[in-house]
Amino acid sequence: MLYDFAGLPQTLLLNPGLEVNYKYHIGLPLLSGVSSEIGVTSFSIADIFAADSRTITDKISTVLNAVSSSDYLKINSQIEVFSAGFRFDQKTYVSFGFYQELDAIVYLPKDALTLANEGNLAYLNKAFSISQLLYKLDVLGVIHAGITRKINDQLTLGGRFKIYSSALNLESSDNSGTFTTNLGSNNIYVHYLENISTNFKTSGLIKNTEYVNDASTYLKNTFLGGNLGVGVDFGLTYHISPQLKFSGSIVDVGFINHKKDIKNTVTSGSFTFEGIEFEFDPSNRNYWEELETAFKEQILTTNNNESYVSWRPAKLNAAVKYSFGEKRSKHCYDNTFKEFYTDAFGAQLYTVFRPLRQQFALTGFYEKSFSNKVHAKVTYTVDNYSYYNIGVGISTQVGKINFYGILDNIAELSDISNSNNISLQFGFNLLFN
Amino acid sequence: MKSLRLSSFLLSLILFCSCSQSLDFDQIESYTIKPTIPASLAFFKIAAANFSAPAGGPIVTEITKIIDFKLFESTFVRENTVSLDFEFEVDNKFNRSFTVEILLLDANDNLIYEFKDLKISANNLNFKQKEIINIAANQNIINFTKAWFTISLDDISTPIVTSNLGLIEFKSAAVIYLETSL
Repeated sequence: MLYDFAGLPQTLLLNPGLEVNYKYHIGLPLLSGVSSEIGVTSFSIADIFAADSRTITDKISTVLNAVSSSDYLKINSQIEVFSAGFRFDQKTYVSFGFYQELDAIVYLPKDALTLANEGNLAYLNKAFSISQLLYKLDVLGVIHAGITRKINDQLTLGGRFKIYSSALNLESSDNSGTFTTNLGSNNIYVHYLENISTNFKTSGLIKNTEYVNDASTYLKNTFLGGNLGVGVDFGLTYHISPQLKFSGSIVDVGFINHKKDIKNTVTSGSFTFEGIEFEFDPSNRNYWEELETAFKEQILTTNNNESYVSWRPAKLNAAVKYSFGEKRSKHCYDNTFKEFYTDAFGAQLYTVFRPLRQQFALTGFYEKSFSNKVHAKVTYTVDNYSYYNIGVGISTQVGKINFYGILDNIAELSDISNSNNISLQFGFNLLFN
Repeated sequence: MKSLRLSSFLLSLILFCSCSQSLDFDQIESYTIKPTIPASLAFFKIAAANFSAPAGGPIVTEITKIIDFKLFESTFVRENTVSLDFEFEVDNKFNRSFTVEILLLDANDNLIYEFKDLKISANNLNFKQKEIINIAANQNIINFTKAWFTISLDDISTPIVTSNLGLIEFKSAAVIYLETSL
């Protein structure tokens, strides 16, 4: 929604190559960019918690049956602590700031959920997959500085350099292995743990063997106190004609090198269990102990403090925008007046690289400028959550104060609990022409 | 100022118009997870010759074995098991009938539970017996850590000699019924 909307400073975080026309800007600390999004594919809150005649057991059972291992829960929240920008020269705008972000994605491990909910008596011979355990959670701060440069009347390029400071990272991916119970030949059942390989990584969660349970420590670590990383954004705007333009960007191409406060748990091996086979002999063999020893030897679990690299979820944006309608002019940084059209429509493609696969969102939009100071945008998005996500955004300026607010999925506002995805963004800036 | 008022009004209108159907989050308290887990227990194969008397020794009519079996070692299993279905299967390729007695003992060898005896007739190749234990009615069962097996020949007057052929195959498993709320 926010992408290329009303020339807002925050759009530069989505594409540093977008055009801005002010002399400088200052974001209201902590309030210049607040965004929050929560989404889950395949079910909604109402599917489980609706106050109706069905039992909770029935409702959860229905949801679990519908869930697949590619469904996920995603939470993203960002707060811009500080942001500002200034025009370096006629063609160059510099912007910088610091924001904190929470980003989490958890894929729903259908097999593990089934096993926990129902057990496996009804699923003899079924291989419960461990590879479905897949999640990533990051709490981090980002210090960034970017440059937007107008190359000529057609082309504007931009880039942004970022320093990431991770306060918390929990992730697990590339797990493999299965758990199966079959009818046995030597005993009634035989249980197989086959080719198990799991790696649960944490950084920032455990310090000197103690869990960090103080929120202020996490907050402090977001500002250069945590595990550090670097990243870059690139973007461009290209005017194909005076009314038609293309813009595109790639954002968060970067990584964090986790090397402080690490605790990883690694498990690997295979184990077959048919029960305890014993003999009627006079020996005092401790069969149970032998079983435990064999399990520990064959399914090896170790903890380590090895550093690891975590890639940021890179995002791609691309948009085509056609402007039309009444021609107006607005006052620009160089005391000239720039003409603009009051209306525009176009399409945007957004994709983010997630652990299992890319996620896509295709948006069609209509943008209307009611005056030089009041802009509105309506979007229709098709994404992983729904095929009818309608969003609205408003940006307005009074004097130097700019306010914007954006709300997604308004079609579901009449019953928000039935929605798979809700997102909200708003902020206040001071814009100086 | 007019535009700010208009924007604020529109956004407020949208936000205040949003609503939700009636939700009841408390119902999660009545949700119970009920996994049912099959688990193999002990098994053995014993030849008839095991009952033959050693040279000059007394007639062997029964043999016993105690083994550790810590099914309830996990706190989660101890606290959430509501029922256990014990399943026994015996394949008797031996022309003598016998009885299997199984006792569950705690760490101090105190008797916790005695299963109904398994009476296996001669040459019965498909003996099956099931015993359901309700934990609420047998709360002490979660303290069992050992199993005592005794196999006794029903006919103790006819001794077995080493040339007697035959094999007894014993299998056992438990289906563990767990219940836990979120």
